[in-house]
Amino acid sequence: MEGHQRNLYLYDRFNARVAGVSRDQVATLEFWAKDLGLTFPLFSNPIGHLGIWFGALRQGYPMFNRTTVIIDKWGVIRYMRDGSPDYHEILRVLKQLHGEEAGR
Amino acid sequence: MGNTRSKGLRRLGAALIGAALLAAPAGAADERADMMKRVGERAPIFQVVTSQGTLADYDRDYYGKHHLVMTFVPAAFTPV
Repeated sequence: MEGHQRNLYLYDRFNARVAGVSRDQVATLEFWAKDLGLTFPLFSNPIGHLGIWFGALRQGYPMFNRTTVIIDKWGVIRYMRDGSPDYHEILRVLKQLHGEEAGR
Repeated sequence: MGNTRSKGLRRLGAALIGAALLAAPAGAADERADMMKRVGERAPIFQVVTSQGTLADYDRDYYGKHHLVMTFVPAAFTPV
């Protein structure tokens, strides 16, 4: 999450917004965001439907696994990757999307 | 007017999907696999409460405005 916070100005440049998602309650996420000094939102999804949609909630596991998803501004999923966020790859995809946006 | 109505219907659809997920038995593995989206597919719209005390509405806040990067984490205070 701190990596996303460090890259916020780059995301802004590429017209992107970032959010974390977990199954925690809002109060817990609020406390965590304050603890890390995050200025972007953390989504509270106790039901877990976002995890099911985006492949972050595996059968038999109560919690999300680490997954990063990029949805472009036209509502299409452009990137999905399991594991910790690869910031270089995320920025590369956002740069490509920004280029496409400029070309439209 | 029509646009507002279709947005309302889409939101109702999202709410019904959420309710169906709540009602789904724990062993409904096939249904889950069907619900999973893949790269190139259209993302479902959603509304979730955020740590900033706001309601994030994909349709209102992101669609047609910004690309959205979402990172799923197991729980608060876990390293990412």
